[in-house]
Formats: sequence, structure tokens, C-alpha cells
Amino acid sequence: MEATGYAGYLAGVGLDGRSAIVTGGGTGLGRAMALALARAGADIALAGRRPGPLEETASEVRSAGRRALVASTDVTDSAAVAALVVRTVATFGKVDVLLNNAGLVRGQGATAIWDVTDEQWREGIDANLTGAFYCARAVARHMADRGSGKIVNVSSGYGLRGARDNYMYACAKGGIMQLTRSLAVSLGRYGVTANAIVPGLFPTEATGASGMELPSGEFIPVGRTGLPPELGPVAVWLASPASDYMTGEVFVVDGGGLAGGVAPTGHAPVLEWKR
Amino acid sequence: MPIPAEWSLAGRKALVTGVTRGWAATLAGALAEAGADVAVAGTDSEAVREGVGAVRAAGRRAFGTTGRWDSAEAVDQAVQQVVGELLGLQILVNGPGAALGKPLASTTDDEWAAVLDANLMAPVRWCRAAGAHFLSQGHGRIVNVVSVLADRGMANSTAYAATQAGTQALTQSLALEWARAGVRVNGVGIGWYDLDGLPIEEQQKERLVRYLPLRRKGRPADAAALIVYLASDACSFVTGQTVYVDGGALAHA
Repeated sequence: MEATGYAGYLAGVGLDGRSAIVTGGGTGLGRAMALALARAGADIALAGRRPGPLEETASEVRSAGRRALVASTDVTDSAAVAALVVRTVATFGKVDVLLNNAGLVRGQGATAIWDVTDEQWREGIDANLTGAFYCARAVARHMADRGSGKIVNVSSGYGLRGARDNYMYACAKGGIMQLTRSLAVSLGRYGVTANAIVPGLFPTEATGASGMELPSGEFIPVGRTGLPPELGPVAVWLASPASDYMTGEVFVVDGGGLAGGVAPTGHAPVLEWKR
Repeated sequence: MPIPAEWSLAGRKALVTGVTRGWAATLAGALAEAGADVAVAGTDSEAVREGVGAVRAAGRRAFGTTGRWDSAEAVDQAVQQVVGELLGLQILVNGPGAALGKPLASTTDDEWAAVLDANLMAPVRWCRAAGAHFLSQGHGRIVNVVSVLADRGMANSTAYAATQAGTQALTQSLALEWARAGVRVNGVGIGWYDLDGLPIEEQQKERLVRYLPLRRKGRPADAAALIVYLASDACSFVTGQTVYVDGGALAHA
């Protein structure tokens, strides 16, 4: 029975020597995931609109002993995204991981379809879908040329289920799921994988400022809302070689909300949006 | 390399059931590597030995038991025995079921019942027996391994696919039933996996390139770290999910 020895099954769960771009890495879930990647060994390029929070995350990345690059970037500006990738490659030598986390919750509250303006539609789709496409496009050739890369997209439960009076967010997050699958099917032959994380209800600064009335944890099967650091191990797994055989797939971290979601259970993942 | 804290199962006791040769060493070995003591239950004594050997090689306490697991009494008794041997139980991993490739028109009731019992009822019995223990201690982790046929069809695999879909439904509903009791129930989905390491035929190579984005068969080790995470305390906010590690099979058109 000598072939069954200690095989190092967990050897791949680590990011030593890896380089990652995290969009929306200054605050909330992006910050929590950026720090988890750094603690697992990755150098981090932090992209986002506001330099202040990015600098704060960067100093924590450095405290974890990793290098950090702050790149103030509007991901809906494709030239800025291209520059972000060039700068990251110039600084760290490569991009192993793209964590497409940037999104817009603010200003995306409930609106009846007849009241949605062209501008609101475009803003919501651009911030939550187009930006992720631009970032994936900007790293794809680099990753394909190197024969490896991990793209991790952050979607939402509304990428899988309908959202009442909320067209842009649901359509964009549903688009993220399809972006993930199409990237997986297209780039697999170059050794590049793409997967999505679906976070459930995680109260953050952004949800607090969004005008959403968050339901209590009572509505979630496990009885509580999520804590941002709980996304850390999932982000690390999807960014690490340990998940190399997973692509085009979804990792839902939602306290059981999407497993049920049938109203009579009393644990329906329903968000009521303030009008 | 030290194991990241979130993946640690130090001090935990795990039971792996439904093991087959090729899977036993990986399922049991990965949990042991993360620090758990592991019991291995199966119908194939060779597979059970393989699992037990992997646990001992990782330096953890092991216990093996072989049986038919076709009655609640046998399974209840085995769980009690495991708790006694390992001095506790927090983790249950139900391994992948046995395949049956046969057209429905020539599948008898007895054959259907046999694959249903082995692939769905056995995990149900293990969940119920281990779950009673988990509910009383307010903590537990269950991982059910299923095939992509839980979600997609395949000709000449109707009985097998139905058992896989059944196990996925078991995962979802049981997760909700025990969500407030500190028990997490999740699944790991596998695709076209290679268990024997034999060289693949030309015809298979062509299919891999045409249908699988990652162009290779998977191996049990590809799912090992995920199973450890789903068995850990860190997955407290994950439940009722089946995560597929399938080389892109389900994403493909």
C-alpha cells in the first residue's frame, strides 16, 4: 500500500509568488478578499476609483509582508484598464489572478421599468458588467501567452434569480455569469480558468450607503448575514492552483439563501429596496 | 508548506463513506493531511484498506469498516462505532456513487433499486445517523460528492443520473433543515475523472479536446482541497451548495 502515502493534497492552496489585480479593492468585500490573497502570499494591485481606501488596503497588504500597488482606476474606462494591466505587469512582472470585484450598488435602488432612464441603464450595466469585461479582456492575452491565469468574477444572487424593480443590477450580474462561462470555454485551452463567486448578504459600507433596507439575518437559513472575511478562503481557493480543474463554475457563499428561496420556508432571500 | 488556518481540521474527526478504489486514498488522505482523524466505510474492503492506509501515512488515527450499508441499523451501528473509536465526529463525506451504464428499456426494477440504494439511500442513511450526532452537539459538516449528471442528462445513464440528482436535492433541502443547528451540508460535483491512470485512447483524446474546456480528465486530487474547505469551520456561511470541479464541462455548450 505504498502508493497511498502523504500526497500533499493541500499543497496547491497558496499564492506564494503570485500577482493579483483586485478591482474595487479599497472597501468591503474587495478589501477583505485582497487581504486574504495577500495573506496567502500574493502581491496585490489594487484598482478602484477612490485612492484613499486603496491606500489603506495597500498598507495592510504591506503589513502582511506582500507588495502592493495602488492604481486609481475607473474600470468603465477601457484605456484606464489597459494602463492598469501594463502598470501591474511592469511592477510585479506578471498577472496571475484577476479578481473582478468592482461594482456599483449606490444609485441602483428599485425603479419601476417605465421610470428607468437610458443613463441609469448604461451606468448600471457599465459599472457592474462592462468594467469586468474590460478587465478580463485586458489580462486575457497576457495570461494566454503565459499559459496560465485565474479570472475570478464577483456576481450576485441576482445574477441567478430575478430582482424586483431592479433591471440593471440583475442583468449585469447575470451577464457576469455568462462572461464567466464564455471566458472558461474560450480560454481553457490556454490554461486560463474563470469562475464566479456569488456572495449572499454581506453588510458593507456600500450596502449601508445604498439606500437598501437590509433584511435581518433571520431571513437567511443559517440565521445571520455574512462577514466579509468569510469570502477569503473561497477567493484564495479560486485564485490558487488547487482549483485548476474548476472553470466556468460558481461558488455561492450565501448562508443557504439560494438553496432555498422558496417563500414558505420563511427564509426567502428577499431584499426590499427603498423607493 | 504549512496548511492555511482556514483549511485546518486539527482535532476533528471525520467519516468517509461510499469509497471506491481511486477515491478512498484521496478523500481520506486529504482530510487526514488537514489534521483530522478519519474513519473509512465502504462496501469494497480493498478501497477501505486504501483509505485507512492514506490516513495512517499522514500520521492520523484511522478506522476502517466494510459492510453493505443497506439498512438503517447497520449504518446507525457503524456511526456509533466510529464515534467510539475516534472519540467524536464532526465531519461526514459521502463519496461518489457507483455508475450503472444501461439503457432504461433493459434496466430491471431490481437493478434500478440497487443503484438507488447504493447511491442515494446509503448517503441518506449516513446523513441521518451522523446528523443525529451533529444536531446533538450543534456542529457538523457534510459533503456529498455527486456527478455532473446531477445537472445534465446522459443516454444509458438514467438510473445513475436520477440518483445523482436525488443526492443534490438531498444536499439542498437537508442544508435548510439543519441550517440553524450549526450543520452545513454541501456537495462537490465531479465530471469526467480518471481513477486508474491508464493511458487514454485516441478517440477519448478527441472528445476531451472537443467537449472539455480544460482538455484533460480530472483526478480525485483536483477536488481534495475543496472537500477539506467544505469540512472546515471556515465554511460556516456556505450551505446547500454543490460546487463543480469538472474541467468546464457544465459551462460548455
